[in-house]
Amino acid sequence: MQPSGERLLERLSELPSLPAIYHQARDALERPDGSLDAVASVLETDTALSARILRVANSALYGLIAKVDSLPRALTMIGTEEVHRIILATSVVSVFRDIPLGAVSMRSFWEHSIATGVASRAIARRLGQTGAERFYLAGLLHDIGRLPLYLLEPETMGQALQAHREHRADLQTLETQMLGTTHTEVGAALLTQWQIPAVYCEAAGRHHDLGEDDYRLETSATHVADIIANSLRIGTSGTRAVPVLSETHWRRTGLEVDDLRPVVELTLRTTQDVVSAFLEL
Amino acid sequence: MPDPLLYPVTETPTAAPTATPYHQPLALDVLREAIGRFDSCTTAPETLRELQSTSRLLIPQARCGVMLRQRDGCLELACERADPTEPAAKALSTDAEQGIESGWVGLAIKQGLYRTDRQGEVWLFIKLASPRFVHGVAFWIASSIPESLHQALGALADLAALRLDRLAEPGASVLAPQPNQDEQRFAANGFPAAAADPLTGLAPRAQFLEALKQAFQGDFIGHSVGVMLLDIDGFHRVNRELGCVVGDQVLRSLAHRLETTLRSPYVLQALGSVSSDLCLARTGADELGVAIGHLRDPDRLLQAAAELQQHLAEGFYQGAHRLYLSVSIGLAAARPSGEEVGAETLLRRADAALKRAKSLGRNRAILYDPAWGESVSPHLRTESLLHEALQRSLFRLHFQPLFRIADMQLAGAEVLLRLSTSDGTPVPPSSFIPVAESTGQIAEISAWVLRRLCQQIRAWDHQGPSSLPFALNLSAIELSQEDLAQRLHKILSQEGIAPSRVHLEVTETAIARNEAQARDNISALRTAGFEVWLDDFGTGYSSLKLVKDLPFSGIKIDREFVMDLTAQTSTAVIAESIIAMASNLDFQVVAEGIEEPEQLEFLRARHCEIGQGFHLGRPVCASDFERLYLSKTQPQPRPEQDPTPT
Repeated sequence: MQPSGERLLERLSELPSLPAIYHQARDALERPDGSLDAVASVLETDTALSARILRVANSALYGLIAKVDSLPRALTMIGTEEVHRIILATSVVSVFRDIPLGAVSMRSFWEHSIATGVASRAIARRLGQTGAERFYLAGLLHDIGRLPLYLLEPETMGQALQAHREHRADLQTLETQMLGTTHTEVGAALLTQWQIPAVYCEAAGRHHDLGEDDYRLETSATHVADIIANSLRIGTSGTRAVPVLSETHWRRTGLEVDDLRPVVELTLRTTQDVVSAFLEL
Repeated sequence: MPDPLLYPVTETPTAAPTATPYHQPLALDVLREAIGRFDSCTTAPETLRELQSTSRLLIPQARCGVMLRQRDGCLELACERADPTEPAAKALSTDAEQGIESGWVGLAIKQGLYRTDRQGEVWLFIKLASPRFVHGVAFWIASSIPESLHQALGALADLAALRLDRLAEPGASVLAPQPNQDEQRFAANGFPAAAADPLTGLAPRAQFLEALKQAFQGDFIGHSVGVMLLDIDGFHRVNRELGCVVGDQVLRSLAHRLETTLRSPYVLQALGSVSSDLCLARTGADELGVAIGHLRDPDRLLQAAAELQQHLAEGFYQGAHRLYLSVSIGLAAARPSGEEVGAETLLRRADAALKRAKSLGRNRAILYDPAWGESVSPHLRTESLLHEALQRSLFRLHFQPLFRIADMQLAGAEVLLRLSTSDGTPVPPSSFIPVAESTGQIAEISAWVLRRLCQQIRAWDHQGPSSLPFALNLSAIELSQEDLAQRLHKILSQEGIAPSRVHLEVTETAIARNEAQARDNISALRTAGFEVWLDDFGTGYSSLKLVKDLPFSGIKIDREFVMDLTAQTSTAVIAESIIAMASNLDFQVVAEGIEEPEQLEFLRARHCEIGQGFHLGRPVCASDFERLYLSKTQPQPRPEQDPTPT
């Protein structure tokens, strides 16, 4: 990594951090005598966040049959582990939701991220994996490293986007050339700094890796989901090209070509509703 | 992934392990020949023809084709033949499709070269790219292609790509095949090649007009042709205040955002079109246009426009400035089979709709309605601060209590809007409300206010149910909007608050703006269950007539009459008669602006029902209102210690 890339990583602390309420809720969840009631009472101090959690819980993401109208009930329905993920997802989106960007709108960024999450989750379901929401969160966070690039280096990223638009190179190559780092590297660093579980750091850091390696299934599913979301053109995190498919990741997922159609259909059907749950009033 | 010249001409050909020495002198001769020939090519098709003919010197029996990357990123076969229906050209186009579908072309782009055997033939794909641009892929199909020729063919492709690069300057647009070739495949998305707008990279106005004309010539059964014109509100101010460099960057960012959104599956689905039916162009300095072929339902244009606006609402971060820009959008559609409408007329209609959107307060999309006459009025300014305030919740609600004068029981509160800039400096309503009204942002602001109020009511009801009403002011702009009652009612039902909890105050001046619409709105609001009060009574012109004709719930006597109550006899007489008239007509009366105990006593003696003013209680924030007036003890008026108005 070039020195400018290192300097950029040092500046991650200039970004908004995760809200204190996330850490409080996480503590409450991890306490041995912790209860969902305790978590609920922590969350209820932040009305905006708890309203958002309810909306997300009632979105197409979970497909709950009955409408959930109270936080404790939502927490019971979706389970402790999932509560952590949903708080994390809503906190991260909320932190960045209202910050204006340049040629890529924040909304477009989250549309792409959510579509990738939804596709990744659909892949996990297709493969009969338990904990499909882990895959959703891995997909949701996979390009998070682009946000520090846009926010800390707006001018350079503006030039990179312009060069990418003129077909000079793919965006990640331009990131390396112009900033000495990439969104994958920055994303992994940011999530590590936030003390987010390693599985998400790996998905953010290695979803474009093409080499042979023993990737986690979440990383490989995110790699494929990212390609699906880009092909469908649901939002964008900046790139206008569909990333290159890695044989290793594809084999790692164990997907068949026939699995793609249902995954794509589910992604198209679900994403819009999940986007409005996360982003709209 | 670095993308250098893949086959440097200078490299010794013997480096290839399987090289057959026989080929090398020929290959070098061909390359030398090609260098000279490419140099004299002046158009892209000529360059491609040269690539094909020089490569035939190496593999004479091969079928050779070139796929060029188009404006939308798709690859299209560049035909060298005049007649695309000719069998050889058809075969080539089938080959190209197969190359794309089987993924070989993709692999060639990824790796630079891809070779495969299929049904006794060798297929060889080579990327046509320079370090700055991937132009496409060239391919050769023959019963045999010696591997020793790979390098030579690759070098030819690199030479051709470099030539294409040079031909593309300075416009740097994608080179489309010549217009008179293969109409059916190329005309559909490559409108005749014209240099893209250098700033935004979008199509220029001429191409937009051409696309629109072509859309009218298409096949329209059950489809319409649509136009969107998008004008950035108050863009001249960006250029003036932040300079043209920032202005240009913002324009480019905005164009790119719109393009991404426009081509998302949800917008395309709404329009019923595919990406190649759309042509997004820069049609003016700060105006963009979209020509839409195969539009399913003209009403869906509004949905697409709303989606576009959503991607702009969050604002732009540009050179340390946060900018909140909005666009006004004019929409028009025509079904050419049914109406005598052409591209020109459609464009004029979209323009009329755009002007109307501007005059109705900007930041909105309007679909042309044939019922319009020739109206359209002035144009107004937009204000970034209000935009930002909406985006970042800088607004706050304050509450001023109302009391029943007879027993000093809390009777409700008037809700007032407060705004501070992000550094905490308060902005007085008298300075931002007129701007919000003139830009039309008032509608968005009042929707926010109502929603916030509902949430506040819900929070207070949670602590102790009550039926306390809260009064909101309606602006002239809103009162002249068609769907006012529906809109407000929708917000209340979403928030689960009964309309009876919200009193709406309207002024005579506001009614006068569009009296017919205001009357309809007031009746509709009353039917929906809202109470509507006539505010500032006595200061307008047509008071008595209004009071007689409209179903008001009550009136508020303007502070002007209360202020001089005890000092001027004439004022006292007017106030007294207003109160008497109101009670005869069975209206409730609120006296505003009570600042002294004497005024209160006067009003009490005349049986004025409700009072409001600094003497009884100032506007305070929600938590103070709750502490002072909603706590369990009997609420009491809190006369202000310091009566200086803020």
